[in-house]
Amino acid sequence: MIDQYNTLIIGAGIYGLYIARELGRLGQKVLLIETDKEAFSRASYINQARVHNGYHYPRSVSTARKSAKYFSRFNDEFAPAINDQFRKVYALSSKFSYTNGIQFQKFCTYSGIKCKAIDPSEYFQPGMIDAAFETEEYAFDAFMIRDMLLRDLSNHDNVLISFETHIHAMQIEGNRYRLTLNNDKLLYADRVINTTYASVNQVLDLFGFEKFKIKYEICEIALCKPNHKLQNVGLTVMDGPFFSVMPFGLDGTFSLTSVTFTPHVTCYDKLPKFDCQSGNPNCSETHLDNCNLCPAKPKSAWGFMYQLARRYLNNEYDFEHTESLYAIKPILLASELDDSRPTVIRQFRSAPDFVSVLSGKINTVYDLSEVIR
Amino acid sequence: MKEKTFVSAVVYTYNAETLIGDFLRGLDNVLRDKFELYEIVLVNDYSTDNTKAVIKSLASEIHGTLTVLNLAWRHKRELAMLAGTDLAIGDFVYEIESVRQDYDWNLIADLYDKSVTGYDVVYAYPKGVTKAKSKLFYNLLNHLSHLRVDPHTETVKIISRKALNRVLLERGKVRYRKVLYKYCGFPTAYIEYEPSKRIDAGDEMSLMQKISLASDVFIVFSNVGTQIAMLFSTVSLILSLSIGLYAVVTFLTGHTTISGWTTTMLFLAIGFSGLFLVLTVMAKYLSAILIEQRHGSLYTVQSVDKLSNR
Repeated sequence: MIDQYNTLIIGAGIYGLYIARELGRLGQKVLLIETDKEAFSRASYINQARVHNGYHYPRSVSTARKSAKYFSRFNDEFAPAINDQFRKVYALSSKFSYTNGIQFQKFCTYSGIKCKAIDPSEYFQPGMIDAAFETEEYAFDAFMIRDMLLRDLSNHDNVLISFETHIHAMQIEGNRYRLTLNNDKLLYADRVINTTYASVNQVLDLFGFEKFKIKYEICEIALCKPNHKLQNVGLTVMDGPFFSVMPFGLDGTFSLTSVTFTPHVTCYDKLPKFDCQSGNPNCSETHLDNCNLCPAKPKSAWGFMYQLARRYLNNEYDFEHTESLYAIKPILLASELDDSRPTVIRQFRSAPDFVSVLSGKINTVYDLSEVIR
Repeated sequence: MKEKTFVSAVVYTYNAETLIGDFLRGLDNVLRDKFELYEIVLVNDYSTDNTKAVIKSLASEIHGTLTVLNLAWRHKRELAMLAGTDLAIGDFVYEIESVRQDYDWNLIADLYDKSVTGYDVVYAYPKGVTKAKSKLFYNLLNHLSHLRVDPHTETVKIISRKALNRVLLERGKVRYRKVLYKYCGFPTAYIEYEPSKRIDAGDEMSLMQKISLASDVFIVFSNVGTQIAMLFSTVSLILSLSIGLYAVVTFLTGHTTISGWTTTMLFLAIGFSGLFLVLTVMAKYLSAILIEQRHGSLYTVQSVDKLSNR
């Protein structure tokens, strides 16, 4: 007897777990498959851990508004996983920035988000910063969010999670998919939801759909330990080739990222193809392995990121490198110009349904309500 | 053992498709041998040939971080290098004026080694290629200002972050780095090298542009302009006043030859006296405004040494 499911979800990141939970509540029979050993092993964990309130997108009011709209909802729902105990400062570089202080302030007013001017010299070296603002933005602890969702899921017997699992082959039989998994298991599903991030096009390819126009970047999130001066501050320098140093979750760890040094290698092909894949037999154009655990992961750019931060920060704000996390980030090419990060939900076919979800931000997970029926 | 210091190399380039490849490979190699962490900031000053495409094709051959700063239109060397140094993040920054290279690559390492012995700015210039025109210009400038600028045309220099930051904070719009670095007041050294080949740097400025830059430098970095104006208007003022006095004296002594001469002379003398007086006052104001505008700081300190036996 072949197992039958209403919905098969691919990817146990925040989007996959969130949909699984919502569908579970509706009583659907759901199978969630994940190629890694654990949930939240890739981009849901390996990112800036920022609960976006819009500040990051001064050239895309639509993205900003959407982030701001979901900001408090996300903070309420995942309250125990939210770090709001630090002062979040956004600063506009006086050189090479696409936006200046006045424009940023105007943008914040349009978007309806808090923005209070402060003295840049408190944190930054003279002449480097046009304007600095105290803002309202938090950090989340990815593993706590994961555990909260998994705990909720464990209450639903109709939702099953299968790790180290991916789809080998698919066929359409009438109104449903007949899927073969890598462990040779067979199953039927009325609907498939693809919530993978970097692997989005690989899954679309397997199902024979048109692929998204994206580029891929292997990104490094450098984790660091702040000194006591920096402990309760998050600093982001905008809007161009700058950096951000801010809390990463709740345990006092910080992340350091920079626009120029965080992406290590870029691939413009529809399917992710990197030179480093020759160093890992489990990683290829058709199946991505986990960069963070990869023996061929890039050498850390910490020295460069740190040097950039030093150029801006006053000497009393210091931090030291602890480790670096790596993940592949897909970026929609259409959003290059205005730097927006839309959530793309596309239904590729119906009966059987196939839906793909692609989003670069964790707190826009509520966009999914239209998928959850 | 590689140096731990993070260095940046800012390179100016304009229409150099044939030279840029070898240059970047060479620079990348010498920096990689010497330093653990470095970046190259290439300022492409709106090249109209294939420079941009050549740089792109080179990207895979360069081991360090290469940032290309493409300017939106032709800015010329001074402003282009300013943009490049603004972007550079190194603790020491090389400024390389051209990809026409007439020195041995070891010079790059030598500059750094010299710098760490206590010089915030170290220049390298080729032996014996200084033009008589530049000599005259700098001698005059040194004479008229408190600067002691070396007349050689340097090809590469290294600047410490400390010195660079001071120069970058300088608000003046008239920028002439050679003088600004001199002006920052930090210790400076020179390395003279035997050029491997005679290269024609290719004058990028016309005579008129050179004269314009030279006069800007004179006006900004010395007070010769306002001094000349002041002196001239004062002399003219005295002259006008004495002509007026002469007219009054001739009238009183009854030596008037033509009727109406006295009135004309008085009018001219009073009119010109007033004019020159106004000019003198304005020249004084101009120099005051110039001083007010120019400097963030009223004095430039080289170092503060505390000497004490305790």
